[in-house]
Amino acid sequence: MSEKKAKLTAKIIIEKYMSVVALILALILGGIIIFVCGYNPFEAYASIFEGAFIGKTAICQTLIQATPLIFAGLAYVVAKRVNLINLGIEGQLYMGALGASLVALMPVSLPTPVLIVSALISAMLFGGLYAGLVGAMKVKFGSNEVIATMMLNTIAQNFISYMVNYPLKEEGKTLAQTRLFDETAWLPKLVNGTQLTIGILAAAAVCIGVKLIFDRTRLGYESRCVGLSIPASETAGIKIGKVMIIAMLISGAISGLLGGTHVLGSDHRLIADFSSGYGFDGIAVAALAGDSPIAVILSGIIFGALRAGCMVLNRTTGIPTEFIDVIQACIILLVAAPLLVKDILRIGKRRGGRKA
Amino acid sequence: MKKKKVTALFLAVCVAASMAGCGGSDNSSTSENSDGAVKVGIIFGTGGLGDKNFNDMAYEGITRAEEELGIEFDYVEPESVSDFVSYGRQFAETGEYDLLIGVGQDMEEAMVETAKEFPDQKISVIDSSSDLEEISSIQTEWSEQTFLAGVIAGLGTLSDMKYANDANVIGVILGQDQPGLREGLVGFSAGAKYVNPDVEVLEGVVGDFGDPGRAKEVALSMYNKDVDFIQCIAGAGGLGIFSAAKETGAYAFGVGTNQNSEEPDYIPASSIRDVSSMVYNEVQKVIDGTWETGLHISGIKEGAVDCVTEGSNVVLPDEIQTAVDEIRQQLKSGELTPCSNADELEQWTAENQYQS
Repeated sequence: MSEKKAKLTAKIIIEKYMSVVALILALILGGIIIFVCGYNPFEAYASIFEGAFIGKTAICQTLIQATPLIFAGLAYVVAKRVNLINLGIEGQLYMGALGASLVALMPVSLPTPVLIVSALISAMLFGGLYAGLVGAMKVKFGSNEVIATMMLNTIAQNFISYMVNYPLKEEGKTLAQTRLFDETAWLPKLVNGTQLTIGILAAAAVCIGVKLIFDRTRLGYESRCVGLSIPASETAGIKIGKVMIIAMLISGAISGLLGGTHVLGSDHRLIADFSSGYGFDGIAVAALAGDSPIAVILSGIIFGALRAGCMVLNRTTGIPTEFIDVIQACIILLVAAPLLVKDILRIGKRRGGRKA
Repeated sequence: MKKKKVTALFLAVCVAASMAGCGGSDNSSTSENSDGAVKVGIIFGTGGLGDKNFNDMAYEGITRAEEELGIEFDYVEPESVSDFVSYGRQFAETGEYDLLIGVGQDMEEAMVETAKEFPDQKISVIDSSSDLEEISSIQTEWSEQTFLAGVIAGLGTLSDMKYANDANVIGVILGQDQPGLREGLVGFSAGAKYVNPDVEVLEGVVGDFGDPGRAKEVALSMYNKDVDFIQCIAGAGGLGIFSAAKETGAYAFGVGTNQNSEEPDYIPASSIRDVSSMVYNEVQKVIDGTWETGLHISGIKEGAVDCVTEGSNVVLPDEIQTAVDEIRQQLKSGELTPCSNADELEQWTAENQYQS
């Protein structure tokens, strides 16, 4: 047992190490791209660092940007645990945002804690059920979850767009958005004068919660088994369908929380197309975190820092913020190709074949 | 053991979060730019540069200001509407920028929030139509934008132009029934009635700015009622109206940018709105020291709107061209003010008639 555990820890350490290597290589690649664009990469990274960590607003901006990324990364990790690829986080977060907005827009006055908690529960329900649908389709009809979640993204986004253009549209305005929520429905701010809300704490708490579920519950054990080997789990009497659906429900509920905390915390209203692709950014966050729920917090903050820093870079040098997407893509490529990284590093001794 | 780990992690998160609260102090220097040049920060809409529309036109204005007025500028292209406030704050915080420009109506709320926090920061929002004490809202006069096209239509429908018919009927198609667009409709009618008091003006509403198919149907039914000139105010629907004009053999006017080249044989002119001038003039005001908050509606006098025939193959008869030039002068000199209220149109027509 302890030997097995030691082996596992060694493996985890190597995977962590791989992530760090992937990050560093991606940053170097990014630096080359900045150089090719005609800028000094060292100055650029210095400015990113300054924009992300130096001063109160910078740190807050990092955490603001990190919040949706942590949720998205975690949602991806949860589905990945049972070997499902949830590419529908984007759609689920829109549904979650709608769920939270419907509660926040209700014409009843409730005390802030009640209102926020019920809005977030509604967000989790909307996001969870939307993802659960895919889980059920996968289990009942064997539909491919990658395609199903992708397709449902478009439906959700257009549905929200319809909702804010017609039934929920703010009266007398031309913009596709709902009215501003009452202030009782706003997430409390952590730091005055910034947009940093308790959303970041919620994100971290949910990560820890998921970690506990993974480590401490029967569901966590079963999901790990299903993720490792379906035939073996079947033999062990695990209800695979049920586990898969529950994993999708949780993954979707987390995505829903992303949408919910975002509309209640940042925008204070539902706006058409408000997400800049947070759902897909989650894949990179999860990849860098090596699919560990706790590491997602760190990984989310790293990407949040890059984003926050890049906002400053965008202003001072005109390098577009999409530059971060390049680094994200590099990380996914490098993490998805561990053998390549190993070859680059000439380690090559171990050949952990499972991860693809 | 594990419990300790979790507790430690939780504490770490709490520490990280509280660090945000007491992070470094901001040393926002309020020193003016060293070489004394006026510095402008500009925040584009989420459409970003390269949209061949609003953002690109604004960019053209700010680069023109750079060349002609010797200003400096930094710009950002937010990926998400949620980042508007953060960018606004980042610009304002530096204290380096004499003027901050938000491009697009959806920027209004974020800019007001920034302005409240940084009362000394001059902020202008292009295309906002609210009269606010915190920011300067830049809007154009719809009735002046479409007036000259109305003049062309009013005279054209009586003339022997190729596709003009005997009936004295012209039309306007709106994307949606909005107060601002109604002013454009009234301006067009006023222009037509100024030169042709008996002309009948039909109106149609598509119900959507992005539906060329439906816009085409509305236009076809209008052309079937012997309309020979249509002013479109229907966004992308305009393309459908142009194709209806081509099929029927009739005229349509472009709107916004110069659309004459879309169907040069059927579009005699476009009622343009010059976003680049809106930006340029705002910078000019800061240099002159005449910048102030509130709602600023500019019209033909300021060069913000006009009617252009460049790029069209339609040859206007000399008397129409002369009339258009004369009436443009009347508008610019302030001798003539177009009617912008439907209820006053009849009286306005009775009082204002063009004498050639």
